[in-house]
Amino acid sequence: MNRLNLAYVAIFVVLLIWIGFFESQKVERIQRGALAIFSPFIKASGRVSNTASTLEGRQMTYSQLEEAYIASRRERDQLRIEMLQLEEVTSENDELRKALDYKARSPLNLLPTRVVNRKPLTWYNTVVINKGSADGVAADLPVIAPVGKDGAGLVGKVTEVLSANSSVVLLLTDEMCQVPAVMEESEDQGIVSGERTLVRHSPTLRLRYLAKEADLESGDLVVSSGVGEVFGKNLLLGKVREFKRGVIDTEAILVPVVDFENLEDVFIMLPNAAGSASSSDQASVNVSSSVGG
Amino acid sequence: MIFYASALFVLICSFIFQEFIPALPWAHYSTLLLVHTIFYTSAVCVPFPIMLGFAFVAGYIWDCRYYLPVQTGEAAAMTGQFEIPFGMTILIFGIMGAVLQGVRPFFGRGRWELPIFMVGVCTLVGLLIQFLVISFQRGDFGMGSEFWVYVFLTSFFSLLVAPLILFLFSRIAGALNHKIYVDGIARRYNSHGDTI
Repeated sequence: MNRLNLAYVAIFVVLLIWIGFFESQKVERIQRGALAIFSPFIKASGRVSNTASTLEGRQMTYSQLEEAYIASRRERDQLRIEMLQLEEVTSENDELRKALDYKARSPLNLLPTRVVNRKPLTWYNTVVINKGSADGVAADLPVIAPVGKDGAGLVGKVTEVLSANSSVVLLLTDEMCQVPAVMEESEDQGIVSGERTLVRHSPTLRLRYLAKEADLESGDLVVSSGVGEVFGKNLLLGKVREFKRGVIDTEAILVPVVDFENLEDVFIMLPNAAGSASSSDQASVNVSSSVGG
Repeated sequence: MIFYASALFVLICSFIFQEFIPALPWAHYSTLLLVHTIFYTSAVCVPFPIMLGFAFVAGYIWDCRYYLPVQTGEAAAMTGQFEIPFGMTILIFGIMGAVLQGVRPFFGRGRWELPIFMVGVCTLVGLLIQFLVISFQRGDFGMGSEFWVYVFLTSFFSLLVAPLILFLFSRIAGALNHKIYVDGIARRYNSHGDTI
C-alpha cells in the first residue's frame, strides 16, 4: 500500500473515531433527518407489502370498504380495552373504598395505531407504527394488542421515535425486550424475553429466573408483574409450553398470546395524567378471567 | 470520474430499493442486503480511496436508517452505550472493502468468479462481526441453527445478485469509456525495486 493510500486510511479512521464520539442526542437528530427522507419509502414499502399479502390471502375488495372495515375493527378493539379499564376501575374502587385507603388512579390512555412496516431489522425484531412524536409517543412506552375477548397482550415497547408520524416498536419476541413477569396462578416471578435475534417465525418466549421450586405446569398463564419502570401490571405475555428445572432456577418456554405474525392494529399506552405509563399506581388491566387466545 | 459518480448514485439508490425487498419468514427472515451487495461489488470496481469514500457514505446512511439504540443492562443505560455503536457499518464496509480490493485485479482481467465469491464471503463475515459484537455485549454466544440459516441464506442472496451488479457496473464503465483500473492496493515498485 503506498503512502497516499495510508493517508486516506488515516483520514477514514479519524472520521470514524469522530462519528464514534457522537452523543446519543446528536445521533438521534441525525437519524431523524435521514428518516424524514426515508419515511415515504418506508410507508410505501409497507403499503406494497400489505397489498401483496391482501392479494395473496383473499380476493380484492373495494378500497373504501376496506378502509371502513379497518376503522370499525380498530374502534371495536379500542372499546374492548376501554371496557377492561372500566371493569378494573370499578373493582379497584370497591377494594379501595373497603380499605378506606383511596388513591386516585388515572385511566389508561390508549393511542390506537397501525403497523405500517413489519420487516424486521437485521438483528432486532421490530415493526414500524404510524404514530410518532406528534401524538406524544416517546421511547419506552408499552405497546399492547387485544387478545381473545377481553384480554390485553403485551406487544413490546417503543424503542425509537422516527418522526412525527412513525416509531419503531421492539417486539416482545426480541431478546432485548425483557419484561418482569409473574405466573398468574402461583405468583412466582421471573423475567420474560424473546429468543436470541433470529427465531422470528412462530416465535417463542423464555421465562427465566423462576425459583427452583416454582409451581408451574404446561398451559399456565404468565402476565407482566409491573415491577420496573416500563411495563404495566397484568398484561398477558404467554402460556407455558414446557419448562426445565435447573440447579439454581427454573426456566420455561412460553407461547406468546399475541399473534406476532399478523400484527395490524395495536395500542400505545401513553403516560396518564398522574405520571408515567409505568408508574406503580398505574391502572392495570384485569385479565384474570380472560385468556382466550 | 463520471463512472465513480454513477457508481455512487447506484449505491445511494440501492437504499430506496432496499426498503422494498421483502424478508422471507420461512427462512428466518433472510433477505437480500442489496446495499451491502452493491457496495461490495463497487469495491472491486473502484480504486482504494474511492472505495473508502463509498464505505463512509454507504455505512453512514445505513446506520442513519437502520441503527437502533438498544442498550444492554442498567449500566449501559446510565452511560448511554448501545449494543452496536453508531458508525460500525462504516468500519465493516471499510474493512470488507479493503479485502475486496485484493481481488480487484481479477475483475479487471475479466475473471469474475473470485470477486463474486468474495462478495458473498464479505456479506457473511460482515454479518458475523455484527452478531459477535451483539453476543459479546449480551454475554453469551448462542448461535442456533436459525442463525446460520439466516446468515448463509442472506449471504447466498448477495452471491446470486453480485454477477448482475458487476455486469451493471461493467456496462456503465463501458458506456462511459471508463477502464476499470486493476492495480488494487497491491504494493508497487519502481525500476530499482523500491516501494513507490
